[in-house]
Amino acid sequence: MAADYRDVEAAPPKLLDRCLRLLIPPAAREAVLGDLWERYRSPLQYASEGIRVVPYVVTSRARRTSSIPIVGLQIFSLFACLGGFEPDRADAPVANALRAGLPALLALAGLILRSIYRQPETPARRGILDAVTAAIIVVLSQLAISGLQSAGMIGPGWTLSPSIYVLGILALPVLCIIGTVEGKDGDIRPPPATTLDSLISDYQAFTRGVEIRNWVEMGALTIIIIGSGYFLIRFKPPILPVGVSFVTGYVVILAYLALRGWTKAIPSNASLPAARETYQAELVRQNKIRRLMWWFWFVPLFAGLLTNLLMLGITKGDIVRLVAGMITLPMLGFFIIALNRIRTRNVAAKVAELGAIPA
Amino acid sequence: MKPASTNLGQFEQIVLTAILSLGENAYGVTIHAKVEELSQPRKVALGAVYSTLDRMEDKRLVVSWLSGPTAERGGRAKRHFRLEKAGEAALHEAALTAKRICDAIEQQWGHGIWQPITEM
Repeated sequence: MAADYRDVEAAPPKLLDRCLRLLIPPAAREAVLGDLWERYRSPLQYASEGIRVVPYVVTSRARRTSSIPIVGLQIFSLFACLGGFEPDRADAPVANALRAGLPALLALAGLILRSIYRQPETPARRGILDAVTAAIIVVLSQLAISGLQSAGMIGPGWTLSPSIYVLGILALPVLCIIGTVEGKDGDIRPPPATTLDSLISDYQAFTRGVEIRNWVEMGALTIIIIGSGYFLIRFKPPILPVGVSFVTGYVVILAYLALRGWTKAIPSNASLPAARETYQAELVRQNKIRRLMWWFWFVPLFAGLLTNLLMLGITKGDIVRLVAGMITLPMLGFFIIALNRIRTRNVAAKVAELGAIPA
Repeated sequence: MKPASTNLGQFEQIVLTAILSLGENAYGVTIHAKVEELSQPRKVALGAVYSTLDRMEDKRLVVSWLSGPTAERGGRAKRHFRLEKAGEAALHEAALTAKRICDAIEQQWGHGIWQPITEM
């Protein structure tokens, strides 16, 4: 069967092979390029078959590396932090939703492309690189819009205001946290434990992961506390008391993570059942903390949607804002619940995997 | 414990059958060739086979691994596939359903079911 396609003497032109290599995501590259090489008959056949394969492979990678809740939370965070839900001033030439929508969509497209074409990496590294990618795309899009405005190709009012830049910085830690969601395809994972030694080394890897995530979350909280504090002091928004209470709440969460966010150590003389019990209990406890953290991260966004869409829609009789609020509030809740459900399912699978190790 | 049943689409059934019949030699090129053979006269895109294999791996119906690189593939590895228990169970269930359909049709049409529709 395979021999029908094979001609060992013939090989695809190097340039063509390199072009396809760039287009095929790294996770599928080795096998797909090998298959195409094996089926090689002529440069035209190789190019046309390669081009037809790329959309399937890219779509499949996008499905495997992203999920609806993750993409939903990313677009919510970007759009909100770029001021998309802010009420429009009467003299504003461009609506805030449009001003924020374009860079938010470009950044989201960048994040999806990055997830498709990334090499296997640790969750912490992925989170940081996601935030950096989004920041670069937003800055580049603003530079491009400024250039178009200077050239007179588009009207004024399309660039983000300085106050939005401060808010935009707050999106970075949240994007970083979303990027660290475990269990995505392409993550570096240890093989399942089968003995006491492998269980302990697996637990140590889990502990390191929790430590890194804890540090990332505490760093993100610190950035949010400093950024929000600066925003509240510098711009004195109408929601100042609400803002202060949020910042205080985040300080409390930061203290909780610093004191209780870490894992317990397994004693060096522990038996396999005792070590397994500690591991399983810690998995469940960490899952409870992280599930709660997902809600904490988005409390300001819930409040923003409530005040800027729902309440403003009711008080000003703005039906569009009212309907947008009624749609986006439950949608945000749905994304968080869906993400927590995926996490809980992964934890339950891990607990069951540990339970299956013979004592 | 009996694995939870998975409803398979027709294309998934064909891909699983291809993997089953190829045994140790089930990888992208051979699976595609076998799927085309089973789907005759329909042509099948190689990419469609890849995305179905990915989806079935996510459903834990199949498992894949990379073999060592070979010269005839430009020094690239093959991604081999094998059925998982859930995949075998799902294929078995699909085959039983197909058998019941065949039996029901045969009862109505007699033995003409295995002949092309134009010759009946």
